[in-house]
Amino acid sequence: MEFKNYEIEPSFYDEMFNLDGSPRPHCVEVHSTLMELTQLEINTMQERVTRSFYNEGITFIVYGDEAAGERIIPIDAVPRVLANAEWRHIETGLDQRLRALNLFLEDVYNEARIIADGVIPTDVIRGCPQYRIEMRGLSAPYGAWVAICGTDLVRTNDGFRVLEDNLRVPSGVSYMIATRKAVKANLRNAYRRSQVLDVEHYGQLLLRTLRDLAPPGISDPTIALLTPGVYNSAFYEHMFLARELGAELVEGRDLIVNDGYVYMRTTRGLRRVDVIYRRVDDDYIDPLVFRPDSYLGVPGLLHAYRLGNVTLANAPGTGVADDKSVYAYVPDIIRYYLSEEPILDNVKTNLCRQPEGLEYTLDNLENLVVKQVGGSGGYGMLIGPHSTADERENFAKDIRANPANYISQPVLDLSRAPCLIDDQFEPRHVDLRPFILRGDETRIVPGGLCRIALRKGSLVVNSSQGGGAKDIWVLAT
Amino acid sequence: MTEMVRYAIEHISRFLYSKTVARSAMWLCLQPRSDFDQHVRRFEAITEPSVALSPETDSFGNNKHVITINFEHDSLVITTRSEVENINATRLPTALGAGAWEEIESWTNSFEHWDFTHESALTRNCPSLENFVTRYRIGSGSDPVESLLRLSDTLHRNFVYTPGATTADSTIQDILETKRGVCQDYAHVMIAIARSWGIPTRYVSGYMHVTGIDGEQSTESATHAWVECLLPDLGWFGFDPTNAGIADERHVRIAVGRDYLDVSPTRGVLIDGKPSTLEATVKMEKMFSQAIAI
Amino acid sequence: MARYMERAGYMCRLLHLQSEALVDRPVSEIQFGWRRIYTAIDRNPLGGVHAIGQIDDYNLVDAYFLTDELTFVRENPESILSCLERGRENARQIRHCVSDQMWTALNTEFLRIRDIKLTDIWLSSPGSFYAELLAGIDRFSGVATSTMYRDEGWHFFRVGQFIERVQFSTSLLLTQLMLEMQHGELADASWRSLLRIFHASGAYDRTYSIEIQPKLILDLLVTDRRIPESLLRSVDRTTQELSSLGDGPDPSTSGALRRLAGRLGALLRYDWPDREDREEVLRQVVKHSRQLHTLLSETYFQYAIQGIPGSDMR
Repeated sequence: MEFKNYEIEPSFYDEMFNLDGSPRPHCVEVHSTLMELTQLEINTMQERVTRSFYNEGITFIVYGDEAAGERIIPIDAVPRVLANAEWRHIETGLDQRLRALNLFLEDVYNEARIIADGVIPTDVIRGCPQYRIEMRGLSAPYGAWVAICGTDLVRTNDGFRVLEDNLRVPSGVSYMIATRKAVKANLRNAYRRSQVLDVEHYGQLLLRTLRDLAPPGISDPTIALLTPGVYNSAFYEHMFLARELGAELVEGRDLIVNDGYVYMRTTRGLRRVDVIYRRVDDDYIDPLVFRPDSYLGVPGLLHAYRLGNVTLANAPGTGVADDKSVYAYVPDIIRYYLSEEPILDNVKTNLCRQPEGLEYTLDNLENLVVKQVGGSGGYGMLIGPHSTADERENFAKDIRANPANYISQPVLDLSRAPCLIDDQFEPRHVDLRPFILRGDETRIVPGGLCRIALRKGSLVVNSSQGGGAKDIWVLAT
Repeated sequence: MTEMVRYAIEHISRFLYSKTVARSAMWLCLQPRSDFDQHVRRFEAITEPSVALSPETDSFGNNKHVITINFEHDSLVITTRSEVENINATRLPTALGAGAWEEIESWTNSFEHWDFTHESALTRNCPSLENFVTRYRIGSGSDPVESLLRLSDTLHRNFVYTPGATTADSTIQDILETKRGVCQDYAHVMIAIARSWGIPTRYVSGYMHVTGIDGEQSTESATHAWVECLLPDLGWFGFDPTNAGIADERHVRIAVGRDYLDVSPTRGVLIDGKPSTLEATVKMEKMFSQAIAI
Repeated sequence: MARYMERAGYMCRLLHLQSEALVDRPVSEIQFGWRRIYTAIDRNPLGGVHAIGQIDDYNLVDAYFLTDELTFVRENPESILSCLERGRENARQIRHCVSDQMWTALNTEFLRIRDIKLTDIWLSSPGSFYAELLAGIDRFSGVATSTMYRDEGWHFFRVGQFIERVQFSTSLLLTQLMLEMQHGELADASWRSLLRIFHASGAYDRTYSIEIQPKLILDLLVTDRRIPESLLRSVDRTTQELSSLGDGPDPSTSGALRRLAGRLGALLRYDWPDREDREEVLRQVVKHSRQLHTLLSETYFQYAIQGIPGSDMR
């Protein structure tokens, strides 16, 4: 099928094409395969990919909108290809970043040298609601406060940049694997000829990572995955990972703390649990310490953690390191702890908590993306160029009322990749979320979830905002 | 010469549940601290039904215990017994040296003292606080000690100590509106104002030995709350706004925190149960006192 | 999950028979069929029946609406759609213990029925719709047998399946007896269809003759272990699965559970042949099988915590 009317604009890096319209060298294989397929074959392929998600039940229900029924995240059948060298660069950058962020977490909950040395102002850390004083004085095995991380990267004409670190309970890895399975099955020849690196062993790497983190003296740890329950939109992923790990899938009510140890109910009675991969937010994890009205958590869990009798992955309190204000300091954090220059750049960020940042933001609202420090999922943000004067005025009011709650960033020219839209190839903006694991070493599967802003011209890729996803093929050579 | 006192304290908390509880978990913050001029010689705790008490040290250095009861129960009785020695070695000067405020200011936004110089859940600023401060012309004077004593005195004179007027989770709004409350509320207001001056101030939960009419035995309600302020040269120093005085050898410190919520003597989560009635009795006996040279 | 699928299977068989009866059977027989279904699931049609106890109540309601209610209506927890939906929700919760093939089989049937309405099948061929659905449900049960890992999850799956089978078939037999008491001798066709629900028509003809003798039919369906879905066989299979499951945290409750299953078997083996009050025996089977279900859950899931491994707490 031809790439008819496919627009390539110089301001956006195109993931498949050079400016002159020729495919990039690492995309030749996929490009020629797509060209060889007929329109009918392409449509069938897309349909099969979509259907495989329904058949597998990789669906979610938007609660509050049950009438809409079960949905899937729209999966695009056309893979995005990354050259091996591009990936190596990303991989070393992510490893560096996560090592630094873990050292940062260990530090801010202990000696706080980075503050004493004046690299980050106190109020940036302590003003962050995700800083959990309950975690002070504690350490994580191998310093891996964050054992599972999903970092959002974007590419512009200047290369890759980190948009956001997700260090609490990142999700999406099951989509990465399901998408790979579906797309691979439909583009078998291109997949084989391209020599794509495998991502489907993620579960094994996760298992090794969690085993690394077992409390001292436990050589064969019992691992459980703690889910908020079947009504959580990521429940499929929880179930999927529990199966990959061979771990028990438990809810808060299945776990019991006794005399400082954690046990789970089994049909044979109680069994001690050593490592918990928890997919429940900090606030809900232990009603004795955090939100007392939580029914999702386990009373006494943090006590067992404090005594070192159970490992929580990720540790509570990691949210302080992916706070949007702290984000601005990550390059300094890398230099401070590792004495290295950051391999992956940040997006330039103006902190409204600082007078000059506030002034610049208010003066340039129509050119900036303004985000709430605590917000996520693409909510509570203003995209300057797409906003009305009224919206900007209201937003400016909010910013002035509570400057510390806002940051601003330039509107990024996110790269675009060809996607199947109404039976045509059309460019759409994309980002990239690789998943990084940290036990006694860093483990990363080559690839990740490529999120797509499906609406034409849109820059918002979040699935809660109508985004889609596609497979990422990292080539072996 | 100064005085060393030894107390024997017995604290019994009885929870009666209106419906059988399937399981429960609770933290206890009942073991007095051993620091400064206070030394805990002995501490024991038992529960009925009998379960293990698992100790932990919280982020403020308090000695807590966590208990989990994983079987049905209708009641819970926690008994703690401590023997604590106290000396009152530090005298409060009438004024601090020059530059005291400057030194305090340098602490205000520091990482170390952040928790005790910023609002906490029960000490949040509110319009009633501003009205109160204006009406009684409470402000920081030339000297921190003098200002704090005046503050403590103002609270003592304008609030009426009224058990039952507020609840354990009351914010300062309640006492400021009704002028009625208990030691916990006095402490919270003092914390809110002292912190607004930039003085690191923390909540202290403890016991106070009150001499009864017969001159010896304490009254039943010996649990008490006051505040500690961090002052140049003096370190953490205790003020007791309920009694318009300073904390002395009669005050036995259990725990310190941002406010009551950090150090409430017990906090529990019931699984499949109904809230309970709590009945607490404290006996505090002076075992002996002796003059010592230091 | 197993229970819901089993129930969906029974409903499917019953409705398949009804859809065939609608073609050429007398009205009285069709009405008997509706009454049997509703009595067996212990419900009234959503529209209500006017005078309980009269066999022609079901004149008042249309076969179309009854079929719809028993197949597609979500508000009816016994409808095939509801059973499949709950079975699927169940499977979703324990998806990590369910084989991919089972999930696919279940999900396919669910999607098949979710996306259509009765109007889509009513005029053309409701019969073949139920036949296909039934084949799909049988496929689920088949792939479960051929793909599921034989750990305790498997035994729980089977126990669920067999307990449901005991309950549903007892309830069908009891309904038959009750209707006979209310209305006098039943038409041969109603006994013939009962045999078909139990997949026992051929076996009956071979063992006895094509002449309908209710007592012989009941004996066959209750006690002949060669009939795969006979009551006694289902009870024995339950007992067998329970012993494979072994003890739960508290051996005394697991013991009670096995004894209860044993009692159920004894009731059918030794009481049934000699007793005149056969409904009473069946009522006891219903009672015991309900207890069995409750006790199963108390033994392995909702148990009180007795002791903590490696500690001497209580």
